[in-house]
Amino acid sequence: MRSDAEGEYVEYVKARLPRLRQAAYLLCGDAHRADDIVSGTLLALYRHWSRAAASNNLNAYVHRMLVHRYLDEKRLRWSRVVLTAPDGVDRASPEFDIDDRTDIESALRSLPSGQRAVLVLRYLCDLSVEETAGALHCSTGNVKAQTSRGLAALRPLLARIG
Amino acid sequence: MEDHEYESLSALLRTVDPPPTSVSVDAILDAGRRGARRRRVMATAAAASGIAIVLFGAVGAVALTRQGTQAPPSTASHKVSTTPTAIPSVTDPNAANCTIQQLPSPPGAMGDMMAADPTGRFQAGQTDLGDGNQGKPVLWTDGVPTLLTVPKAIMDTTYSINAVSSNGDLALSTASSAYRYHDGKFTKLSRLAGFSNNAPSGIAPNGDIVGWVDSDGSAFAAVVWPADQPGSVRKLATPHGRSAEAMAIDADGAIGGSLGDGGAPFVWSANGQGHELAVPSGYQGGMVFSLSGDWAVGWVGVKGSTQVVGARWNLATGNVNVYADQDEALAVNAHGDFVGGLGDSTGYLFRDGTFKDLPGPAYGSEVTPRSISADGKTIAGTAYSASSNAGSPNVIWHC
Repeated sequence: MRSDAEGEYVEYVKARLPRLRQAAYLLCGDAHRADDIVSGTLLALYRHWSRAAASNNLNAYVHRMLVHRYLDEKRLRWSRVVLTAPDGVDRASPEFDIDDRTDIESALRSLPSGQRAVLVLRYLCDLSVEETAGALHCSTGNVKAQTSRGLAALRPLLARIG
Repeated sequence: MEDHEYESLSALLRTVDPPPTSVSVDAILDAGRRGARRRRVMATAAAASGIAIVLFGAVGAVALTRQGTQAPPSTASHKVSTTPTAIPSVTDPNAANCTIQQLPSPPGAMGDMMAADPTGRFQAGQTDLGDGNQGKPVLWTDGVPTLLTVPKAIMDTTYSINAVSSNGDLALSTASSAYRYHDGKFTKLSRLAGFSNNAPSGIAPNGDIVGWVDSDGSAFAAVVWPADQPGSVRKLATPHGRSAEAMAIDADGAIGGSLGDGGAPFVWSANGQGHELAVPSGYQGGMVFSLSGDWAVGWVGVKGSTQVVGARWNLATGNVNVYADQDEALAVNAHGDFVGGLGDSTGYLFRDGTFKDLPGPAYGSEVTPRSISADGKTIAGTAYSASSNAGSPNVIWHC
């Protein structure tokens, strides 16, 4: 990579790294796996830098890459994660601690992966509904439905924190 | 959703402090630079037969050329826009010379291709009704989509389409069960004693399905569900009964996968005899995703990292090629042509000794090719674009 392009890559990555780490950690709930996801994403970003940097929205592009690595089950089947869950699937209510930060981590972990993914992409990574749909390869209607289900599940926590 | 709720959740998520990290930007730069400089990876590994394996990463020159001929990115281009920019073949000097056929979606549903047969006749996947619910499976036959009627047990839950054969048979799975689709009917696949979960992964023209079985415990086993013995399931033999996974089966009945979960690339001949495939020094672990005739492709792991790279094996000679600058290889034909790519950017086509990019219909599409035909000219897969007006993501490249 030419040094000016590499300088831009380094600048971007250093600025963005904390947010990417937060996103990976909230998505998968495991620090080691989160590091793997972030490292893999950054290396792929290095390889694809000129294409990524020329995209319409670099942040959204990078978050899409990160989500793909999160969804990566057998490294072939990452997009097999289906975002819909049948109605009436019971989720055990999390035992909330007093510490707000631990609450949100536990609360997110208790959600189905599709709801967790849309909430992290929309409310931490600031992706639009369309960008979120693009990252998860689903319809915008699906994103909206998953968002409202996820928010409904988190509402008691948000109300308590106020 | 109210504004204050948005702010609350946004703020709350931003307070999360992950445990200390081992991610080092400098280490990633080193890895990235090594990849870009690398023209040839020379390593030796002894195959089971004692033949020395010569490997080369063939793409260093291509990568440098591609990066060298593009202008450095400018920060001015990071603006939000909803219109896709030019078709990549105009701007990508390394694009394969292909026309792109976008497959129509079935009425009222967005199709999501998950599997494609090597001939290019059949593709299959899930559908999304746009209201948060999953629709019926979609099967494209010669470019025409149909929705498949499934039993209530499947419609009441969530399913995924795992494989489609050149006869239009499917392997489908739900959280609790797996099925073969043949001749309009879904039949449940049997369980192997001691295992509670069936994971089908590949299907042969004759309807044989391969995959693995596991439980909530740690053991798993590679299996085949023979089409001509409905209700039966057979474990594939491994050294010392080691856990294994079967990922693909070819028209001759040869099966590819891994020992362990990517612990070592592994192939079972049609007669059931299995052997490990070579992994060169500097690499560790691997998996076969596709095989045809004398060729198998998949990935090997880069030692000391979680990175995996594309690999191709010749099953007759034992030779392995590692492509250090490419993502995992996903489908191969009997000629040794193959496609791959993780879907971050372009996919790739290796044919006639060179790598070319497989672009999507819109610039910046994420491409995952799923199949390649015997002549290497018909490739099916998906190309997702962040833009909503890029059309169907389910495509066939005619190269």
